[in-house]
Amino acid sequence: MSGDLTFDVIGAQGPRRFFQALTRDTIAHAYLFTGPGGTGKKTFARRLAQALLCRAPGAGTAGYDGTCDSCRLFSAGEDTRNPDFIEHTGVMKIGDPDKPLGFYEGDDLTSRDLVRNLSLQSYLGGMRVLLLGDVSFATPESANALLKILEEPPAGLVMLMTTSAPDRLLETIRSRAIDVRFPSLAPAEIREILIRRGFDEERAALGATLGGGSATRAMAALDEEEESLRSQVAAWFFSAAAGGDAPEQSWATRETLAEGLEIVKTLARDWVALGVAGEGVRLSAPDYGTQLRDLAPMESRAAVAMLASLDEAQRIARSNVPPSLVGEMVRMAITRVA
Amino acid sequence: MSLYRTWRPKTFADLVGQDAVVRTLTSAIESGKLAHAYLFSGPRGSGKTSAAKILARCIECVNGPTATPDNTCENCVAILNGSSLDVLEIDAASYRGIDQIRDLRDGVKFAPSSMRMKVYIIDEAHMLTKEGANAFLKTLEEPPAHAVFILATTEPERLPVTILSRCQRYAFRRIAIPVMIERMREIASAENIGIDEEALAAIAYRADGGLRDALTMLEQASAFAGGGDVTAGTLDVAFGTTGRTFASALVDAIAARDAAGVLSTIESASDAGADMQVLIRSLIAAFRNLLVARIDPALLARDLAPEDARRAAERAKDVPAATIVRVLRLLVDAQSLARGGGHARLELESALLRFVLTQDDPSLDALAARIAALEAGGTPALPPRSHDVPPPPVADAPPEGAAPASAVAARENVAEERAEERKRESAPPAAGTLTLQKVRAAWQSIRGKVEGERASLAASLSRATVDALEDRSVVLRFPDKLNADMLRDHVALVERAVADVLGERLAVVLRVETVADTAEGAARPARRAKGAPPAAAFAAAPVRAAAPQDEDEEAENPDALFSYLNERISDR
Repeated sequence: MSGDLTFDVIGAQGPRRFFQALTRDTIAHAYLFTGPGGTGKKTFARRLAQALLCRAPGAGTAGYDGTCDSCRLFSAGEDTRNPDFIEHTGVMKIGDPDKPLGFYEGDDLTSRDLVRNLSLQSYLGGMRVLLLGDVSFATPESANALLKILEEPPAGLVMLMTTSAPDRLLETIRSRAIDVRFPSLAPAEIREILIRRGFDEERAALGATLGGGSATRAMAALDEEEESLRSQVAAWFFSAAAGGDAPEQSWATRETLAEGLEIVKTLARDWVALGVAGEGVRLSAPDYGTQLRDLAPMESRAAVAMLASLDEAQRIARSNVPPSLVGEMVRMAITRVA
Repeated sequence: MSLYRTWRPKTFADLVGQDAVVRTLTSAIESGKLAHAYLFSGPRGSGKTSAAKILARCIECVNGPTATPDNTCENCVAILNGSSLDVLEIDAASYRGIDQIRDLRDGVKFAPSSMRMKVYIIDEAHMLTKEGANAFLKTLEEPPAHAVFILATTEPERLPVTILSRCQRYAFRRIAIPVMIERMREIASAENIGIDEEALAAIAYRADGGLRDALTMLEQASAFAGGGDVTAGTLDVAFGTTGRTFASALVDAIAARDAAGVLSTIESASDAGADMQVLIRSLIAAFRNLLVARIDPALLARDLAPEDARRAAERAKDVPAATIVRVLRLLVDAQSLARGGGHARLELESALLRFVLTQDDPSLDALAARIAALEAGGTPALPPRSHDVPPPPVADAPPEGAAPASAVAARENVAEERAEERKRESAPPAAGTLTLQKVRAAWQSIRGKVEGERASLAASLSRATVDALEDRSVVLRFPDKLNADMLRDHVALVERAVADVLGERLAVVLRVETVADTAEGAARPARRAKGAPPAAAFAAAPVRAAAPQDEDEEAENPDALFSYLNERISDR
């Protein structure tokens, strides 16, 4: 029977092995999935929830059969209807203390609702799973309200939380959950994910390189708008680095400044890396490899000055400074080297 | 049930790492001096809630009050399984409002149902609302004789002082790494979990001072190992790598100023799926430990397992403190950029390249060494201030190739001397040895003295630079006539301050810069401005660098110094 069980995730080998080694009895009550964005934390958590609730014999952490009552309630896609699976993505609020005890409906799940809800019994008689995706709390109150239930929860409850910024959670929350780190995805894994999402081979391969270990980032990089920004910034960068009359930095607008700076920095990093480590280095922007190699290698002090200016530009870009000014600063940083 | 719940300490003897708290509480109970309100504060997983539960049993135990409850009598058992009517554990984070506190207050006045006292354990007490806390004050100050309150919180500073002052406070400490390892070893052997020393240490680091974190990890790791032994490798697979090995390799590459090595280490860490944010954090911790080891290796005992502490102390010998501080600054900046949604790997690479390549630059090293020598009041002449003479450091730079090592060595020595020099300079120097350097070094104190007497002169003084020491007079240079005139009427005041600080009577001469100098002087206040003419930035540098007492951030910040030195060079 257990041969029919599946657990459909790509990557995350470590977490997969980790949970496979556990059973419904040894699984702890709270886990915090951490790791860079776009490494499959939420997807993994949903599959794990489905597996834990699956009623097929042998199911559990091993996988789910996809045909039992419980799995059918986990209808395809993100939209699940299983009453023993509570999912909430994003910010949690504390909730109105005077609101009558009710059932969770819609998007306004609050910490108080949760505490009430979780003290109830399971509908289908098995376990209950709570998933807080990208968990973050609107107020310290809403986080603190969960502390006690996170420490000593009712039996049969598994709480899964995912975040890419564990530093932003309360220490007391993190200490009550087991940290499971999700590694960055390997390029091959990203390629597979992209192909499943309907990208063709070639673009999937490009996305895999640009993604830097994150499927979300890869998909963003393949986004048409993003791609045109990238080529625009790159063209500008090479013209500035060639020492010619650098054109206007039209990419430096309020909306695109942060992304633009990151693209410039990636190219600058590759330029410096080629200078210090030679051909052996793996480029972050391999698609511009030829152009990068054509650039004159720079002296180390010039490299330091450029990187320092770019760091400074990023910092300034976060404050309320006209984007064109930041763009100008970046232009100076690059042309000065050239 | 979780390991940390099964192994919640049941007696004070089991409560590890909190000796001071345990000793005080024990002797208080034994001498019968129970307070009516306690506040346990400390970081997560340090034993606050456990101590509160133990204390409750100490009070209620049939053989009590005793510091060693038997945990078998009916009272202890009732408390242990949470069925006692007289020991109430309240989650103040969920029941934090005034109405809930009113209910509590109303219940307090009734006598205990079966036990000696009524004990209220109020956990997460910092989350009480302002109104709730205030409604609690009267009860907390003068409760009925049968009531004891134990408040536990991770953030005592968020409680109103009126609550704090009504409680006996006990501060729980982070659990030191060796203590944590010892406790885990004890529990592991009782639970038949096979685990090696390296893995124990690795768990203790990951737990970051919280014993609860450590025990949950221990439990999961053993479940993961499925009856086999837990090793450090198991942990990396189970919880994802912390990049400790990569961090250690990176520290080596950084210390060796190996740019290619830095890039390739980061690359392999990334290939191994290490989280770059975590790697940055590990690096910061590693350099922090090196810094601590340089100051006093004994201080590492709490934070590192003995073997690692020894290794850190060993390595710290080769890395000068100034280097560590510079890396730390760059890493912290990278962390903040990465946290704000940036690309963590890119930020890490950029920060480390900045560091490694700066060190690699012979002329910069030479410059830094010269400046350090100047700070120490050594012999090298000051770079000329006028534009037509090129700054000597570059000209004097040692030949390429041999340069980095010797220059760095020079800088280290000088850096050590600097501290000595500071001590010496705090006493007035003997007459006859007065040099321009000394005057510049003392300029901040002189300014301070004058400003202390006449605050209105502060602005003018800030524009002044100590230009020369000629014939027993100090020449102050001003970029403009206005500020010089402002000070003109108070020269006597300045002279008095000079005499006070230096112990010598010197005349003070005010001089306004000539036209040729103006550009330089006028740009001086624009300290941080990257776009400012670098010559001006450079001209400003020696003066500030020569004043060790200068509280100015720039003088403290080698980075800033480097960045304008840098610009100076790259523009030339």
